[in-house]
Amino acid sequence: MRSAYSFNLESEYSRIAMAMLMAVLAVYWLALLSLMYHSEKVVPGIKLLLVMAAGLLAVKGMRQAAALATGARVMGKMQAPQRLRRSWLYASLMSTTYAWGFFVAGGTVLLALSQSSWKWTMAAALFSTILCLATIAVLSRYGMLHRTWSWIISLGSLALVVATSLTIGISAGLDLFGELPMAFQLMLAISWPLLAYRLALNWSNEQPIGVFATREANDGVWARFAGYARRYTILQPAKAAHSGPPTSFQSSPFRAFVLVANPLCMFLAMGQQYLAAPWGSKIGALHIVVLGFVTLYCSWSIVCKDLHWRMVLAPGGLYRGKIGGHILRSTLTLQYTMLLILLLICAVSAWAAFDIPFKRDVEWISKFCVFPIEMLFATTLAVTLRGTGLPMLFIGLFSSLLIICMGTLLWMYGLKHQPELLAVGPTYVCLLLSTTALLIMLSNRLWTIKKLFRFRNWA
Amino acid sequence: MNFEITPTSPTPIYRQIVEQVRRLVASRKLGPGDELPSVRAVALHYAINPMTVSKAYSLLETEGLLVRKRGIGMAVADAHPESTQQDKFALLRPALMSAAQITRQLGISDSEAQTLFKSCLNEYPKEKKDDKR
Amino acid sequence: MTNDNPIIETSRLSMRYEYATVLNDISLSVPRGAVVGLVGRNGAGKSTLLRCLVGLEEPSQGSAQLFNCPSLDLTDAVRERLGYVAQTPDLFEWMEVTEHLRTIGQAYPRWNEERCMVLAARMNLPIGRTVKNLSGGDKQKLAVVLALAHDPDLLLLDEPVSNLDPITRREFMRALFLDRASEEERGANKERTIIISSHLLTDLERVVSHVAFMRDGRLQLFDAWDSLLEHLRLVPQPTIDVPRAALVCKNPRDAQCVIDTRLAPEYADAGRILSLDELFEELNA
Repeated sequence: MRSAYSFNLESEYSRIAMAMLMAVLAVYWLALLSLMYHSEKVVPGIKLLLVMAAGLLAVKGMRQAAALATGARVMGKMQAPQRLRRSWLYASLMSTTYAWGFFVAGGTVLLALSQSSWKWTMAAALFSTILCLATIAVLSRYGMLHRTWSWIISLGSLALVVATSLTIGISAGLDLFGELPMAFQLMLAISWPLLAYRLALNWSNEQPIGVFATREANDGVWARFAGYARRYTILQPAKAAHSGPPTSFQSSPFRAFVLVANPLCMFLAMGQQYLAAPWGSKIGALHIVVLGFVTLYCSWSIVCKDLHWRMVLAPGGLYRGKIGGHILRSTLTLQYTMLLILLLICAVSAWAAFDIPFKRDVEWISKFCVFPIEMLFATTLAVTLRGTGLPMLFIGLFSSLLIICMGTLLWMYGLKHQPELLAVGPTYVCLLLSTTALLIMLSNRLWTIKKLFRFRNWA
Repeated sequence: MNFEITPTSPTPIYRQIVEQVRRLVASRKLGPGDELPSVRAVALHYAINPMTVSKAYSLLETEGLLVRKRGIGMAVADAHPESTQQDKFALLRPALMSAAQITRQLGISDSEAQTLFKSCLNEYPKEKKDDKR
Repeated sequence: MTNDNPIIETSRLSMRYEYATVLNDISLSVPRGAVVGLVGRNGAGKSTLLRCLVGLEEPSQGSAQLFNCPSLDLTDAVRERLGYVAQTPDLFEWMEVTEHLRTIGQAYPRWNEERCMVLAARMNLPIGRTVKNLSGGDKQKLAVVLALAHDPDLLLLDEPVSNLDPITRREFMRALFLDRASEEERGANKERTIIISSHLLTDLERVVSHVAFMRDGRLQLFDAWDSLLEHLRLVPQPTIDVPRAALVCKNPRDAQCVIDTRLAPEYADAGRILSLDELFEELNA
């Protein structure tokens, strides 16, 4: 399965960003490797590295899957020779597989040499599973596989993450995964090579069907929801990398849902371990770093409501002068709605499964009432950061910095014994709220209609 | 050399070319042995289908007006009788017929029509005999 | 020497959706070297017909063939000689124009970088720019260059120049016939067969050898354009009955009809000759 032709499956930018992040992870890997024999404390660091590598691999897999789908569509539509399309298919699958192999090798080495409770096959199992899920979800989104797959995978993983984080916590959940019997893990580990092989075999000779098929939403409640969701434009950083016909990935209401649910997932996932700051407790430096991560994650999925040329031309323009605030409002609407829905689901399932009365839920929630304020702060910071118009390169650097900080803190203090900085109380809340107000004013200044135009999806 | 090609006219393009070449040869603007622009050049210049030009040239070749010269292209045939007065009249006839038709339709008298034609003739200066283009 | 088989052939092609019959029993046979103008009102089924010809859609009934190869199962040999421009071009947005041209071109044996660049220059396509930064018209130009760059023997174009200015459209028409590789390379396949679907009838009149009129999914008329010009006449509704076969169409509102004088030579001097847009109007009245 060699590709005889040369392709650039992704833009220069994303290749450089990916290479940079992989380099950072590689450096971290080396650090862990060298410190391995000196102390026990590397174990949480290894776990962190594996989770981040899984995330990066998922992103790479998704981008390559999108490239695959785009290639199939463009070349199919011009009836280019099959061998070209086949080469493109192999090139994208091989690219992902190389990355997978790279990560599996690194992860397995670390796990094998360390004394962690995770089995050494865990790296391969984790990476394969995540990669398979990500690839199938994206391919299904582009119509190359049956559409329901993307729904099943996204909703399923969302439910899984929420459930795990609220019951035993993400960390414990990962431990569970890592301690699965080796045979089972090996089975999971070969899932990616199998999938890649199967896809290559299936699509070698025949064009994937449904690549051109576009389906509109049906009538009824779903259509109304979809129509409402379509008013929100996702201000994607890497715009138009894989854009296609209007009914594709970008404008789907599903994507809006997923992208907003993602940061929430992250909140909840981290919530148990790091972010959870009940009223009255003290938070450490790690908490700040995690907040930084959450901000970063948010910055990928800010939305703007009603970004349409009709609104821009209407009297008053599109909230001229207060665009930053408008973006913030749009994003927060979706986030808070999602949060409420999730809390409701949790309360109801807690009552149904464990007979927990609602009053206890309310008490529990009131303990973490600083969480929505932190969410507000993180989102505002994210909107402001994006408003500066800094290229993703800087944001990549910022994230690398965060990874380094987190790694150092974990190394120095371990998971549980972080030095405490602030108390969660009225002062903390005031600090957050005042910074938020300043950031709102700043973002109003920074966001101009011209910057918004970059994301327009009218021609 | 410039053809006048109007794609939207009722005459097919190939016929326009044929008639114009005939006229050019009859009026000695194209002499025996003169080369015509290649099919490709004409098609390129006017952004028309080369097959149309090719068709026109082939028709003229069958008529004997043009001859294909190896390596050069199409040229006006050498051995071609000097067009008689009859041939020239045949070329002028169609234009005069439509003029006559319009004259009758508008109800203009014969003498008035002839005076008008004379004044039109005066608008075009007489061509010198050895003026070849 | 040349193969007499038609390059494009359809046989009772029909396409039915739940809301309409888009193609109705179309049997078309296009000879080698023909330049066919496919005209019809919006919704007449031109795009669908072209997509069925190219194999991007499966008809409900009937079949289509290109170079004697079923459209739904085109071999790579046929694809190498085929160029198709869809109504809305699909491109790799992240690549530069040169990169895009090279990526696609490398799969075609007759692709030649120099010719490709000359073509791009003629059509004023900015080759250093990234595709996502191209204007709509430039993207269309890129799609056209992609289709022409490998010197195809068969071109199917779906409104390829609707967004382009008149000068570029003129260059496009020139490019359709020129830049053909040398005769030795192509052997007997000298003439390019082209089907263009377009609303710009004055542009079509310059280049077509045949015209196909479509209305409501049916093929109304398909004939050589020169013949149509010479033999069709628009006459006011005659009192005597015209033989059925010679009557091309009747316009009830204006009491006029179009008559084929090959089958009814007595009308050769009556009425007047129609241009392409006049014939279009009459056929769609």
